[in-house]
Order: sequence, then C-alpha cells, then structure tokens
Amino acid sequence: MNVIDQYAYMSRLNPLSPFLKCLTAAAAMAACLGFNRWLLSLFIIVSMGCITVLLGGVPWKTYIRLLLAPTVFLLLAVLPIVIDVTKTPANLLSVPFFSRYISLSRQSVYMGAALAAKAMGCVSCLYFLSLSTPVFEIVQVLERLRCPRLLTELMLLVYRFIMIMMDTCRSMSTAADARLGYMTRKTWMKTTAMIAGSLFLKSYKKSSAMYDAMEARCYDGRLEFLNEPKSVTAAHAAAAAGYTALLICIGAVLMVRG
Amino acid sequence: MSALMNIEHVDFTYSDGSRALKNVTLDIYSGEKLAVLGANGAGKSTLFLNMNGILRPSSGKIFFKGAPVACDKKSLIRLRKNIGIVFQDPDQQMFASTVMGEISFGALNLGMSKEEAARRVKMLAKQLGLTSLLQKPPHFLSGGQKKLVSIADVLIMEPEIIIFDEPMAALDPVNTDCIREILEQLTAEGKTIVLSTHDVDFAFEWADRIAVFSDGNLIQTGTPKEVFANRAVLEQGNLKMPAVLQIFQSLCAQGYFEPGMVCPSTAAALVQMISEKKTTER
Amino acid sequence: MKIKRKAGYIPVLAVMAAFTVAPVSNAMHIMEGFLAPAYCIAWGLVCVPFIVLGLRSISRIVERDRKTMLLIAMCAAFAFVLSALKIPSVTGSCSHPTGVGLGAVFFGPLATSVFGLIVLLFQALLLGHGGITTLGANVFSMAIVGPFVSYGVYRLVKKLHGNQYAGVFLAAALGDLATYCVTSVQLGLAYPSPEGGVIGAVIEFLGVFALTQIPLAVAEGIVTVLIFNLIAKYGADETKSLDVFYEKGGAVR
Repeated sequence: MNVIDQYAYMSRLNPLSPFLKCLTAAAAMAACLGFNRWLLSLFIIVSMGCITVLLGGVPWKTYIRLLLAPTVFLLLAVLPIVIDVTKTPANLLSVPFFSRYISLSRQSVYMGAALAAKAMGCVSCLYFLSLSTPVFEIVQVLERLRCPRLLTELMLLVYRFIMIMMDTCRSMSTAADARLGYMTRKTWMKTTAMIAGSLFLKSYKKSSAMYDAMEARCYDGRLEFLNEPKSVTAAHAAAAAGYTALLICIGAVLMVRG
Repeated sequence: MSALMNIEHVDFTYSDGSRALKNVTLDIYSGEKLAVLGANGAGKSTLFLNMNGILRPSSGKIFFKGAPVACDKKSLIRLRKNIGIVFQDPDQQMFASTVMGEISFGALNLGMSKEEAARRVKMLAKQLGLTSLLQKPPHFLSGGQKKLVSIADVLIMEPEIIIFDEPMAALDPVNTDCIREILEQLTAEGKTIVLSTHDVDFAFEWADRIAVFSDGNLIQTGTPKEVFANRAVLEQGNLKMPAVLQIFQSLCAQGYFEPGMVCPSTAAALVQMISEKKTTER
Repeated sequence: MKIKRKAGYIPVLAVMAAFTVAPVSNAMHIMEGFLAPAYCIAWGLVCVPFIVLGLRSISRIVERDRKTMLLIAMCAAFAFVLSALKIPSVTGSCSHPTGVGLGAVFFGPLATSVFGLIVLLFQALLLGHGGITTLGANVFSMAIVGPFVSYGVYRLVKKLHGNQYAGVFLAAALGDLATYCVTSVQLGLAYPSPEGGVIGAVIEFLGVFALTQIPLAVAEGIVTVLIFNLIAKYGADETKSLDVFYEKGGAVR
C-alpha cells in the first residue's frame, strides 16, 4: 500500500520546474494519442522509461512493477476489440458459436496491439510525471492554470489527509499483523473492516482537532502557503522542447509513410 | 508583574453535556512561567482553547490586557495573534505540503506580505535548525522535527503568550533538551509561557507558578514549593511528589539538613547541597 | 435504529468473501491512454457542468459551516485510502473497493462529483489507477452517474420508508453497477464492433467485466453499510449539519 509520491520526492528530476514537467508529459501524451502509430507509442514507452529510470533515478524493478499495474484492465478491455462475434469466419481464427462465429482477424489483433501500445505509451508519460513531481506541485500548476480555488484548496487538504491516514493505516495494520490479524482469509476481512471503520472515526476526530488548530492560527477561509518557486532554466526548456519536437517528427514521418 | 490575562469564574460545558471547566479563576502574569498540572481529562486542554477563543466559556469572563475578549472577527484575530498554542500532536496542526508552507501559514493569515513572511520563515528555521527541512513534506519528518516545526509555525506569529500542550510527550531525551532550550530562550525574550505536563520533576524545576486542575476545578495555584508541599492537593490532583523534594524532605526528617533550609529546584543543586554539607561536617 | 454489534462483522464479511469470486477485482477505471483524444475531450466537457454545480454546492455547504470543508476533504481522503486497501477474495487474489458511494448519501450527488474528481485524480497520480486523459470519462461514470444513482436509490428507499441499511446497501451496490454499465457504454462507443456496432461492443464489454464487477458491487455495498453503521453509532452528533439520518428528517441536497 505504497503511494508513488515518495519516489517523486527522491527523484533526481524533482528540482525541475513542475510546470515544465506537466507540459512535457501532456505534449507526449497528445503526440501518442494524436498520431496513433504503434511505433511512436513504442518509442515513447522506451524513451519515457529511460528518462524516468536513468535520469530520474527510480529503481527499474519498481518501474516495471508500476507499468504492469494496469495490465489486467488492458487485457480484459482489449478482448472485445480483438475477439468479435461475426456472421462469417475471419482470417485468423474462428470458433463456431450458435449460428455465428467467435473470430479473431488479423486487423482486430493489429488494432488490439496498437491500442495496447498507445495506452502503455500514455501510462509511461503519466509515470514520468507522477514519479518526478510531488502531487502538491501538480496542484500548484493547476492553480496557475486558473483552476477554481476551492478545488485546489480541497486537493491540498485531501493530499495531507491521505498521508496522515496512510500512516495511521500502516501502524494499525502492523499492530494487527503482530496480533495475527491476517493469518486467515476470514481474519483478514475482519481486520480490514475494523481498520477501515476505526480509521474513519479517528480521522474524523483528527479533522475536527485540525480545524481548531487552523482557527488558532487565524484561518480566515483562504488556505495560503508560501513556497519556493522552481524556475524553468533554458537548458531544461530546450531539452523538453527538443524531445517534443522529436516525437512530432517521428509521428509525422510515420503518418506520411502510411 | 502585571496580569496579562484574567480568567474569571469561567465555566465550560461541551455539547455532550460534560462539564470540563468549573468556576475557574486564574490570572496569568506577563513574563511568567506557568505550569498547568492535572490528570488526563482534568480540563487543561479545554482551558487553553478557551484562552484563545476557539471555545467560548459557557459562563464567566476572560480578559486580555484588561479588555474583555470579544467575539468579533477583529478581536479574535488579535487574540489569536497574541496567544499561540502548540498542540500536543504535531500532526494535528500541520496541514501544508511543505515545512516552509506550514510555517508561513499563520504569518500569511495575519496579512503579512510574502517577502516578509519568507524572511521570518528563514530566520526561524535558522534559529530552530530547520533550514535543511524547509522543502520537505511534513510526513517525512521524525517526531522531534515535527515538534520543532509545530513550534516554529506558532512563533512566526510573534505571540505574547505561548501555550504548550504537553510539549515533551513522546520525545526522546535529546529532543526534550532541545525543547527546554527553546523554552529558556523564549523566556529570555520576555514571552509568557503556559505549559501543561505530567512531568512533575520538570514542573518543579522550571515553573515560577503551578496551577493544579482536578476534574474541571482549579484546586491550587502557587509556587512549586508551595503546591508540592500540600499533600491534600497532590492527592486530589493525582500528582506524584517530585523526586528532588521527596529526597530533600526525607533528608530533613532524618536530621541531615537543618529545619528552615529551602529545597533546591534541581537534582544537581541537591547533590551540591549534600556534598557541601558533608564538607562542612568534616 | 438498531445498532449492529461489532460481532456482527464476521458473518457479514463471510458473505462478502463468498461473493468475491473473481480472480482480480478492480473498480472500473478506464486506464490511461485507452480512449482517443476526441472522446477524452468530449467526456471532459460533459463533466464540466456537474463539477461547476458541485463546486457551488460545496461552497454553499462550507459557507454554512467552515468545518465541513475538512470533513469533505477527509471523506475524499478516506475514499482514496479505502480504494488502496486490499480485500482478499475466495480465489486468492485481491480486490479494491471505491468508497464514493458513501459520499453520495452524505453530501448529495453534486458535491460527490467534485470529491470523486479529486479521488480519481489522486488515484491516477498516486496509485496509477485510471489516468489523466481518461479522467473525464472516469469522472462521468464513477463520480457523476454512480453517485446520482446511489443518491436516487437511497432517497427512494427513504421515501418508501424502507430499512435504512437496505437503502445504504442498495445505494452503494447499484451505484457501482451503474458505473460499470456506463463504463461499458463508454468503451463500446469508442470501440464499436465491426459487425455488432456500438450495441454489440457494449454487450461484449459488459460481459467481459461482469465477472469482476458484479461481486465487487455487492462487496462494496456491504462495506458501505458497515461504515455507515459506525458513523451512525459514533458520529451522529458531528454530522448534524449534513442531515442524513432518518430521525432528523429533512432533505439532503
């Protein structure tokens, strides 16, 4: 039950401007989805992977594990695209099914594979962002983009609460584990439900106490914090622009080739 | 010493009907070191929250610098600027994403400019040894570091009275010493300090005055020597006698010291007294 | 209102375990990059009016009592942490609940759309569930349609003077099922079957995910009831301003 955030704080890419990182990730995702070419998607997967692991310093084992996270959904969701119920048998594989066929055609497999590559390409862009930029910095970028203040304030509070709750959850889990709370499936269920319930009540009381503390420091309805802005350096901007240009070139070439 | 704050016949009852403060009258003097003692649930934290206006007394009055505490926004801001509370659990009062953001919160709320707030944050961080932690998120800090941050984020508002709710709870000896140093520094700057603690030895050594609470009642105020000499109060307040006083009284009873000698505040001073006595005897 | 005793957890959870048959159950987040840009933008635009109204609803709630902002933030964080917990299933692997159902009952569907948006954003950034490009689609299915259905079901049961726990269970479970159906429609629209068209594709997606989503909906219904019970037992005082329990009467926005 670990969150990705911790890697963001330790990342060597952390000192870069969050705005630049968001922009780069967005541009790469746009290129991946826009051009929709499996070669480009593959290139993005590999290049983003290298940037995150080699430049950012995320352990590659962790990175692979994270990449595999959405595979179950991917496999299930790609199935109806790859396999179809058709009136006539298809060119790769057909299994008779009542008056029709369950078939697998070359096009459908190709489409499924291209889709999988495209999705994983975007996933690697997302991980580039989330493994190098702490969430609250991303929220700051949203603030700069004129996101409603209420929303960004809520996000910052939610972020802080999540961290506190994860801490509490972990210590309750450890205590339960020490008292054999996870030995059998039945006890596992019971322990989890009890932890969830106590977590809610504990956090409820904590949030009440937190409000008192905020009022004690003259909270007037606006959450305002000071932060050291990370400026965009010319070198970083050039690197980001260069990478984006490269993606566009590759995409354009692939489109022209057909 | 003039009274900075007057709490007069204050009663406080929570919404579930529990009466947490019963007819409490207490004066707090400028520059003093007041220790508030009492068992869990005796009303200490409730008293603190009444002092800075987070809770309103059900009856009775509170005066700050002679003027009654009012409920309007301006008065409350003025009150909370001048009376800061460092809560027992640092996690309770930390909700920013970085230490710098955390410390600056109170300052920005008081309308300070960002430049001024930044300057003060850096200065305080230097004083408390937090400079390397300014960009870190609170959940990455150790217990002791969190405590220091929670102190910094109150000090930035430059309050006159600083309330510490069990400052040494869950701290190791190194961090406890750190807190003691900070308390000394604050007193040297002329701040008024009110703290609650279960550590009777510390209260005996540190405090100018002690207030003992029991079940919502303020049962005794006085100097540490007065309060701890009163066995009835100790029993009612569920307090142990400080070790130094216990040993001193035992030595007096055995005739080691002459009657009329005053018990020292610290163990080190007592040891000194004993060895001086031994030297004069020889 | 009859209060469940803690011992009651065990048989209920045994039922939960029996229902969760699927190999892996995950709430239905459409993963990052799965939808074409046109759909990403379209679903995003569809969500905008709800979010705007939701923000307005929240600022009204918060204006009445500023403390509620912390409560909302806490519920959103709780929903997130719940979704990160693992519950064992009978076959040996794990499932993740969503937690958004409870919010609908307490805060109303509009406000829930906002905190659902926050939860989904954080799930993408902190856990890698769902995605940023698919945020619009996921918000629509999980944070708008689901909560609206949950809320509607809860109010219906309340109006028919049904058992409150049954109301909460149905609200959470049917909300989950509604989400699952809407997600299947979203996927079907984006990837219509060459012969079956959109409808054919939707049926196929419904079929593929049924094995995981239906048991999960039931399990989540039960978990929501358990938590609701806890809040009824210990937190009724504080949630007075939200006015959701039968005894207080009145409407939930």
